[in-house]
Amino acid sequence: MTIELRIASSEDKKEWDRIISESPHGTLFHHWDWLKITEKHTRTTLFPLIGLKDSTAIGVFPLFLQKKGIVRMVFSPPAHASILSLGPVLAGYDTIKQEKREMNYIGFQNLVEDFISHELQAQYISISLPPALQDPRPFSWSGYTFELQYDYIVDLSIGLESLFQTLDKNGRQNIRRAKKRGISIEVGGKNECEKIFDLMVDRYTEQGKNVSESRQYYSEIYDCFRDYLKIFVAKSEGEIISGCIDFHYRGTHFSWIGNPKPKKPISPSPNDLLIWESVRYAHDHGCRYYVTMNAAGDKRLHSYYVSKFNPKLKAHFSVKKNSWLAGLLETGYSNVVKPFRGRFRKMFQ
Amino acid sequence: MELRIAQNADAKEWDRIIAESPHGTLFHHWDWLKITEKHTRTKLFPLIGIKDGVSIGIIPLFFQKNGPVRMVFSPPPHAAIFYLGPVFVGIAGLTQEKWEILYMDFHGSVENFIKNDLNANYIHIALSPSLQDPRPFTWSGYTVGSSYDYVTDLRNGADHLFQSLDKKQRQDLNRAKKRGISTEMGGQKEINLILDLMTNRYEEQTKAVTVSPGYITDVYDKFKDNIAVFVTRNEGEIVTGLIDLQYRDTLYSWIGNPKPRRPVSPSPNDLMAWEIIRYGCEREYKSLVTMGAAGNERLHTYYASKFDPGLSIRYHAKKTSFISGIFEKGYTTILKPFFGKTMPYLCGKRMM
Repeated sequence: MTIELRIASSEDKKEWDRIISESPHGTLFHHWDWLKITEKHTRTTLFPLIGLKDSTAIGVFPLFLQKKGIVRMVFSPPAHASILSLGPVLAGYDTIKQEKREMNYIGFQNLVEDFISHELQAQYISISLPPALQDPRPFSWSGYTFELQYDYIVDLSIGLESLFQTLDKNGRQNIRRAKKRGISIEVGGKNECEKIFDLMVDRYTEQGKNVSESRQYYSEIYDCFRDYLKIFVAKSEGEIISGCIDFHYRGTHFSWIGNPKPKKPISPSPNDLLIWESVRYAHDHGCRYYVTMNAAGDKRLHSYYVSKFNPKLKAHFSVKKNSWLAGLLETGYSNVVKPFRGRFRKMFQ
Repeated sequence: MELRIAQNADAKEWDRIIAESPHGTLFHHWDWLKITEKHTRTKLFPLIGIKDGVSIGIIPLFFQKNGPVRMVFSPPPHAAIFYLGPVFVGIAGLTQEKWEILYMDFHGSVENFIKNDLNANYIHIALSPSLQDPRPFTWSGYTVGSSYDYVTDLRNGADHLFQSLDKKQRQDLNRAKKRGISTEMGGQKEINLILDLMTNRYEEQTKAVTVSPGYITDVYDKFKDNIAVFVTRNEGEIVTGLIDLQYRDTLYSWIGNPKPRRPVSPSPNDLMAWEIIRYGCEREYKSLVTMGAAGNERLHTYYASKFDPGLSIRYHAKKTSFISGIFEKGYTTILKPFFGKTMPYLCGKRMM
């Protein structure tokens, strides 16, 4: 009963996607095409690993290798793709006993560790586990440190009227007043998706930050996953002033990216209405849950999102391991290079 | 929000809060805290948070000075308390937003107290398993870590759990019984025996036993109804044992389960585990929690292989100043291993 590792190729796409859709850990980001598009736009090499036990697939693990000077880095997910979690997906996890789960998971993880250290020779590894994989122990035991990430999850089954009532008076008024002032929310397509991207770039530039994702990346994701993506835009006087890119997966609405603050201050903010209309859309399209990804872990933003629709908190894990040198370079990058680059760009725009 | 240090006269109110809160545990009860203070060379600061004249939460802090290092613990070490930390009441009907505001408020006040009144430079707080939100700690400069428990669901009954074992495990249980290995319940005397067995076992592993028998005795005196003692005999002699806690609808494996000194086959510990499952099912406990074992890289497979437990995660938070960080490193990498190895030679059998 040995576990072996194989690098999947394009021919395995169907099998890969089957494992993703059957496992409780599978997310939209794990799908084969999403991974390939990500590889193309993040200057990384994808190693889509499959773990096999007695020739049956027990899990998959997409790794992205990136070389920067002397540092070899492994990511799952890579930066600059707005992918919030990736990591291992284990097959049949909810139908087997805990003992077997642990044997599969740890056995698979050990092989992946070997692969990372011997084949990829990485000094820096960063992995965000799928939210449903609530067990980071195999990573802790192989020397990773972990951090928590948090989502807010709204239960839509209480009905629209009750959801509206969870808003405070001010929140409800904002929605009504925004409507009265002629702000409208529309479901959009590819053009709107690109327009939202442009608004985000503007907003980030204002804040002295970079948008590191490429326009082309979103465009290809849109073409490939248009059935999953839900694009919402807020219009005022015919002009798009805000918007968000969400997606539906397995009966859950994921609020993914967007909600930039409008360039010209508009009162009330169109974003309250935007979120309300996307919640309404999710409800009307049969979603049970509405997930605001990652906002709950943000010290500054969480209070805005927690005030809407009485969400529940859900934690998940990201893990990291680095050599002494890679750790030093990382600190240097995030404390010196990154802030500098943002400011530098702003000065020249 | 104001903070008040609870006095003995508040014991009743304190225990009411613990009993009513989803975060309350047996360890949080007033008498347990006072016994812990007595045996851990710490000073207890039992804080109550009050908003508009109503108690909204408590946190027991244990303060200890070691040279220049001023430490705050909840729980303190050497008391076999797995978690403590804040406990909130009257939160059942709150929205997530209101709950977060309350939690953050209370946490902010406690942080002020730790910083300004206790001047602590080392803080370690392990949260109650049902408090699954360590964000206020992260946001105030703590590093958050995790611990793990295995939780066996007892609601489907003992027969169902017996069937969850593989064939060999079931045969071993039957063989153990046939060979006259038996598990029975005990009291104070058996507690002492279990602690002796633990001491011997730790001595073999050159680790120091850090819980004093005096502490366990005091706890047992006060909390008899919440403590279930199991011992397992082979040829009349007690070869292993386990001290369990029972609180609300749950049974907790707490201290014990040493490996017998002379190998006995089939394992008396396996039989004891099964007898405890039966005990829990008969008394209609909903679950059996094996505290801490799931987080142990060496031990977890042993516990995962029995009665198909679920995994449950809890959090602890730590904040150190630069100096106390260095002291801690020195202690865990130099002093602790040194004491562990020399103590058995220095003080004979019992090392407390």
